Amino acid sequence: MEARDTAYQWVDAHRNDMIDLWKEMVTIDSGIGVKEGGMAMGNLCAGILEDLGFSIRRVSYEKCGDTIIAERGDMTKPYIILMGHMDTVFFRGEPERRPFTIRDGKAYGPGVLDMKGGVAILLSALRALDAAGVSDFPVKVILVADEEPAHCFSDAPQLIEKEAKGAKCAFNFETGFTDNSLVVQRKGCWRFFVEVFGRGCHVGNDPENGRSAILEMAHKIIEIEKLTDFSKAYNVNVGTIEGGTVANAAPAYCKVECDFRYTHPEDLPVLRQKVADVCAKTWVPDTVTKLTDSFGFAVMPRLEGNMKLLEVAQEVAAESGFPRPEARLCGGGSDAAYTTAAGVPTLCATGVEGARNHTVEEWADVESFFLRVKQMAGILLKVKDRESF
Amino acid sequence: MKTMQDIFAAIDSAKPAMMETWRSLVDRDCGSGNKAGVDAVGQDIKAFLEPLGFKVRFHKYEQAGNMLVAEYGDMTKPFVILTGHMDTVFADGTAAERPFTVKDGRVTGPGVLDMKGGITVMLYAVKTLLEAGWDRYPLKIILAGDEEVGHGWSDAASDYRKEAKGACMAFNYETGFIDDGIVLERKGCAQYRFDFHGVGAHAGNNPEDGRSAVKELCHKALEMEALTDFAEGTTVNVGVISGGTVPNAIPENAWCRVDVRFKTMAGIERVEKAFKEITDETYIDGVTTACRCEVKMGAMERLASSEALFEKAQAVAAEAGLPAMKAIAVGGGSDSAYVTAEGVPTLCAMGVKGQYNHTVREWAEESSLTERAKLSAALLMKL
Repeated sequence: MEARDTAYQWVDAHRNDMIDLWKEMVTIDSGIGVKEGGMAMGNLCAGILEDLGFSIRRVSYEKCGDTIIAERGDMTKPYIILMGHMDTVFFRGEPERRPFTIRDGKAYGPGVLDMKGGVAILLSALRALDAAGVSDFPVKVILVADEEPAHCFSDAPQLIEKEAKGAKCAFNFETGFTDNSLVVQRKGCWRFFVEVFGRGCHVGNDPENGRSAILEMAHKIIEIEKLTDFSKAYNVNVGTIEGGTVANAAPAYCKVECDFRYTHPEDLPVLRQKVADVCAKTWVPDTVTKLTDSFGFAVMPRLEGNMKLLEVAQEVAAESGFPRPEARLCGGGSDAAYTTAAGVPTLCATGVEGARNHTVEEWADVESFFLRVKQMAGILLKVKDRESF
Repeated sequence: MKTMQDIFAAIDSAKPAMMETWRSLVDRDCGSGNKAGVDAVGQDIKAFLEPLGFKVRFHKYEQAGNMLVAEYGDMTKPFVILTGHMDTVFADGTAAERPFTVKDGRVTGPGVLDMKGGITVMLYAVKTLLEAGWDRYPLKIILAGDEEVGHGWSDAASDYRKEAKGACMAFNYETGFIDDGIVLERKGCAQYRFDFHGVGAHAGNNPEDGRSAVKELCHKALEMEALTDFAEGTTVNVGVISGGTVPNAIPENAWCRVDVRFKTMAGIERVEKAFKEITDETYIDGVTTACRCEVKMGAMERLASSEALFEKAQAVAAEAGLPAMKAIAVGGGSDSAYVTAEGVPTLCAMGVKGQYNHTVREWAEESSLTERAKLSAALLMKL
């Protein structure tokens, strides 16, 4: 494996360059709703990909940065997809408040882990292979700009699924886990609100006129929570509740936010119906209940091919002396749902390792950043000539 | 002993002094949270009563205004209780912002109606009678320092009950009603905060590790609300609820505020016993529950003896040419609850008349100051 050694050597020789790229990305403010930051990330990545010989297509949206679709090689043949998202969950101005910093082997900054580190790894692995003279395989890079708000500004889910048709495998450079595991399966999620409208009254003066929204909601929550069935790999959580204003008034309003996780796509319509049935039932007369969809993300099913890809990653690790990656079922969603929906074997969480996503404590393991570039270069060398998985 | 007409004339001529006492009680900050302010009121009232022959002592509390107890005469005999409270609901600085003001027969200022006017009525009814040689009953004056916060930070409620033992009747100089309603019955009110503590977990990654505080709360809210019994006059309302932080985490914490109204002490005792059981039981393993009583005003139960006392008082008022009164039941609480709890017949709302307690619109009728002092003097002379 002369090419692999060359690629690994390139990585060892370009540690500072790769860190600079990572830092440049974290410094770009591509937080929620910051369209120009999303555009800036897209321009940066598209520029690097063009230099590597990719041709670029863009899909533009009103409220978020472009989706970048970059292709290289003969796309009529089964190709590899490398993907990720360029946005973060933070509000505008976060990179200024919390700039990219490395301390004691850990990198900090908004999106350092989720997933600017992963995007930098994606591009660096392509550069390392290019340096090793390997650029003759069909590959498509898909980078989106509104993953964190569940693609509420774009048609990315449909677009990814469409762009994935004809691919032989996909890698999503989402947040890596510190135990080296790679994600072969993700749960789906359905978020919803339930609101109950009752009737207020003063409890001292006319208590009999009250219709407690909290009482009605309590009945409903108990029924909704009963839907959890771990043996069927789904669970519902009433995560937040707010109701009433003062102790001495019957509460006229109560609201809950719920989160339903499921592993098998076919369970979702059944669960939706069950929740709707609970909401349709009334315990406290004269109360009215409203069920509203919030958002959701689809299941990443465990395709047989996902496990084959994991075996490739395990081979690379064994041959290179890297820690062995095991299979992980992850409770949280990602865009890997949409490549697997197209039937494309996918490995997810191939990005930099770390923890505390979506918080100011978010950190990434710097050494894993280099290791994951090598690992991906090694994986690509093994899969580039295979027809299928 | 002078005649009722002499006493009434003495009260009329004392009006300037009464107005001055009323003003001095209003123009000072003594909200329930201002212990020093409330205690200073107690000292001034002590200075007023001692020259009249009262022995004055205080129940002292660390975190609440002290309770004044002033006794006159042979306390081994059945005595009359005259009671009220010295604290107001207003924050420091209100006295300077809205000082005692008389305009067009209406008096305004913090606590002017609730219940500095009532204290003034009581003090001058007693002073006038004692200076005229009245000695029909031993007297016990009880003035609480933390009524507006339901004695939540003191033992005043139980001290009240101890002090009430041995009394033959009681008058509470709470806010008077402009339609001459006299209160024989008040609902009690208590408020509780329940806190639930479970175990947080990510809803996607390790939901089986979570123990939902919200779920525990819901089971218990159903139990609490089921304690409502309209026939008994008891209502339980889970009024405010809050829990969790984000939808994708099993909620670690939740809380609720619960209001209980009750007509009888048996009613609140039943609810409190149930609350203890609800606190101790567990629906979701790993979730703990804590319950704290934040406010509690006892119920002033309607006693047959209070009704009889009212009938006699009505006759005295008629004889004295004072306005006819009517017996009423109200929703809001007062310390009369602790007196009726000892079986002492009690008339409440004997203070100056007015409206809009606890608000900046609070006002009292100037003319009711002497009218109500005459009513109390007449009752003590004739009952």
